[in-house]
Amino acid sequence: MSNLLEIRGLQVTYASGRRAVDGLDLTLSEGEQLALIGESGSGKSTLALTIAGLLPPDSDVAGQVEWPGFTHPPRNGRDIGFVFQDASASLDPVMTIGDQVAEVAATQLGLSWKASLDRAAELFARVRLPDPRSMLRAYPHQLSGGQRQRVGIAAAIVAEPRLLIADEPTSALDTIVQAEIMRLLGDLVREASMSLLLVTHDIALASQYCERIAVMRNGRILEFGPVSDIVTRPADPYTQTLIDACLTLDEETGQTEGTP
Amino acid sequence: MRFLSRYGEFTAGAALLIAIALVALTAPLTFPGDPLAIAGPPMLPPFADSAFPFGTDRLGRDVLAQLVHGARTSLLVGLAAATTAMLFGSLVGLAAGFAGGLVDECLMRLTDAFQTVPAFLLALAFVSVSGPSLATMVLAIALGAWPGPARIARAEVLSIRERDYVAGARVIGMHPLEIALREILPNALPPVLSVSAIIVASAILIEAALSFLGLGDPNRVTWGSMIAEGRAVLRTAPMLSVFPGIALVLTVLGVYLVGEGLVEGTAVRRGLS
Amino acid sequence: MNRLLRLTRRRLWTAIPVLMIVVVGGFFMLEAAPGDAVDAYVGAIGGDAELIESLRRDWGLDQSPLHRLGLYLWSLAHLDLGMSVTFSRPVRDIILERLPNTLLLMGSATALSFALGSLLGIVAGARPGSLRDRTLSIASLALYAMPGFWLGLVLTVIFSVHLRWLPGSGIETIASGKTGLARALDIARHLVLPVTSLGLVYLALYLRVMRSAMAEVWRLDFVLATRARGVPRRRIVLRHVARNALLPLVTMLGVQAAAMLGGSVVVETLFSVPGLGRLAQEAVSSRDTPLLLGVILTSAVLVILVNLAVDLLYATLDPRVGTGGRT
Repeated sequence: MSNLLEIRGLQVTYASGRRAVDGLDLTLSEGEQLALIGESGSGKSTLALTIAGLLPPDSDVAGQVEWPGFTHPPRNGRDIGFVFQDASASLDPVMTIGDQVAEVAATQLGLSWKASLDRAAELFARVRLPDPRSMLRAYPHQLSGGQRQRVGIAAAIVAEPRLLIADEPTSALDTIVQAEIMRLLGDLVREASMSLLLVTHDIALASQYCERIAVMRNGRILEFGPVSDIVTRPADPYTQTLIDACLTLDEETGQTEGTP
Repeated sequence: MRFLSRYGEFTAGAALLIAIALVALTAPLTFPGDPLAIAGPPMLPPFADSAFPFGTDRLGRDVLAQLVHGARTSLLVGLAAATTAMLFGSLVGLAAGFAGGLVDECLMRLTDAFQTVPAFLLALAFVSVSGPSLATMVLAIALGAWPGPARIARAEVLSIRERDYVAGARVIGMHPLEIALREILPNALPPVLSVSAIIVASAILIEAALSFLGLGDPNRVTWGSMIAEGRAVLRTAPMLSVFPGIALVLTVLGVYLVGEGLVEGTAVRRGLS
Repeated sequence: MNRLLRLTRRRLWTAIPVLMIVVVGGFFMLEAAPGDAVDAYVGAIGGDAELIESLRRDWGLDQSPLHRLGLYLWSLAHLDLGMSVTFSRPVRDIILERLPNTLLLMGSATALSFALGSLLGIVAGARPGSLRDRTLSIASLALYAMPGFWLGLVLTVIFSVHLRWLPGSGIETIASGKTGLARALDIARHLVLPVTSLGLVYLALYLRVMRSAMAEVWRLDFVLATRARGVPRRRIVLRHVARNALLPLVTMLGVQAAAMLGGSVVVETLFSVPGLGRLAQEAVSSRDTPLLLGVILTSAVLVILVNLAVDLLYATLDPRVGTGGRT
């Protein structure tokens, strides 16, 4: 499997002077699902934003971010899809959700407006929203948290990007809804053979949906490897504390309770 | 560059205001005597005679002396009216917020009524009724300005009342009055103060407009009345109206800059910038 | 549609007690004036004690204040605003004559200042901190600090006195006999200076509000999300940021309605425009209480109606309004 993404010696400092990422290397293979685990302030979100090129323009980025899997620098919305944590904040409150997804289709796929709306309805069906056609005219405030996140996912996968980055996609949702959304993400990624970069603080979630884990702390990667290895034989004591703090993880088998 | 853009406004405004305030305070020393007394030949152009740097008006009064003394009136009225409006408004707003129910409803309708009638019209009517003097001018302007602070104070009380630290105080058995004074009041006031600059600026402008219409105190010189005086000779001596206007613009500009600087400052401290 | 109707009903319902307070309050405030309309009349015309008494009786000014308030309220219910002392005509007729001119003045000033101000605000807010932005920022602050009447004088000096391009007073050339389009153009020419004097200050305000609103909206998360989706910058600026920034701007429109009406008093007086504003000034100088009260009342009604219109406009722009919960 070829590498989609290669990062070497990355350092990211915000304009305020805070160094969020302090020298890390990372590779992501084509079609791989990688989890970035860490607590708040570990730099995992910053890393995700850096990869997507969404940092504030006055941030300082040093090191190399290379895309051997692409012949050109990846474009937002086309080659990389980004799912944000808080779906209500990631949607324009005064525009219908249909229009917000359709505008991505019109921009990235060059479709006419009518065709873009059709595509939006298709996507709404794909993310399992009820009554996709009439949903086109709905506004974000009329939807539940879980529904809004489905819209966010739909908007991210419009152009069928090769890489999907999901930054804590379920942290803002109730537990039951969390499971549904994660299942949706897992299915979509599998169906389209997308590479997935899942940023989360929940190691159980990571072990359930990803093949490899990178544990982050203070802007550095502590451990990096296949999920089963990391969970059953963590090399770093910090990783052990993360595992201990997780209630549903079975340390012996590296599996989440409830999975067959 | 960032520092300049953040605090430059505030320092520029403060410098302007301090300069004008100094000019106003030292007026009796630098230009003793009655500025409305005839001092020299009439209609002297500005920059012509060193004794009258800004010239003289139709009656031969020193323009510079009038400008300097006019600063006293503008600043005095502006500050007095704004203070009165904010004090009274805050009291009403706090009362409405604390009392709730019917009292709140009535006070809010009263506030609505005072906001519905244009402030200038209200001031106009009041001054015409009470006669032109500095005190009536201050009251007239305050009449139109108090609803703003009242709404802000009330909104703050309503939101703070629901906050956790107030609930906590209630749980530990603090007396409601003590809660009101120690927890709610100190946090309700800063937002009111943040609009103080706008009120001062608007007070200065309303005073100028009322004086322009001839409703100001006839025994005091104000920039507005100077502009009105200069209007009669607009074609031959436009500077008589232009100078006091520039003085007004500089003063109001100073107030706005200081106000913006203050708002930015509190926003920075709260970590929003 | 339903939500808009509910909003309208609610606003009109609360307007009634407010107007009552304005009427009663205004009545008693003008009561407190030393001397009444008769004194002013007699002071101008001349007369003896007998004349004063008979006039008082005729005009009902010898009754107790409460009685007169009752009479006034009764006539108000019949949309009768009393008789003007100075013009010897019904107050309502005079007001209705002058109102269109003020509406024209204020309407034009608002439309122009809002359109130009928000456009320039978008230009400034599209790139916060740029040279374009800072220049517009400083210029607008200086403009906002200017008294409207002084600005009017300065513009008169430049355009009317020196350049002789525009007339300095009135709303149309007197007894010109023009009709139709020619008359409209004549009025428009006369209104250029008053509208500009009144509107420039508000242009500065709307510019600043739009600019700061855009800066606020830029910071919101959904803007980052639209960038993440690859939506082109131009569309983000116009269809997302500006569209959201429009909301606080529309709120401002309502707030400024009363202020602009107040500003029209001086501007109309300055340019001798026969409108409601100048009527207030005339009423004050001739101590014409019924007329002044009528003008105050009309202004209050006008402000309420404008605020209602603005609220409805806001509700159409923001789909979250009126869907339950308090606005």
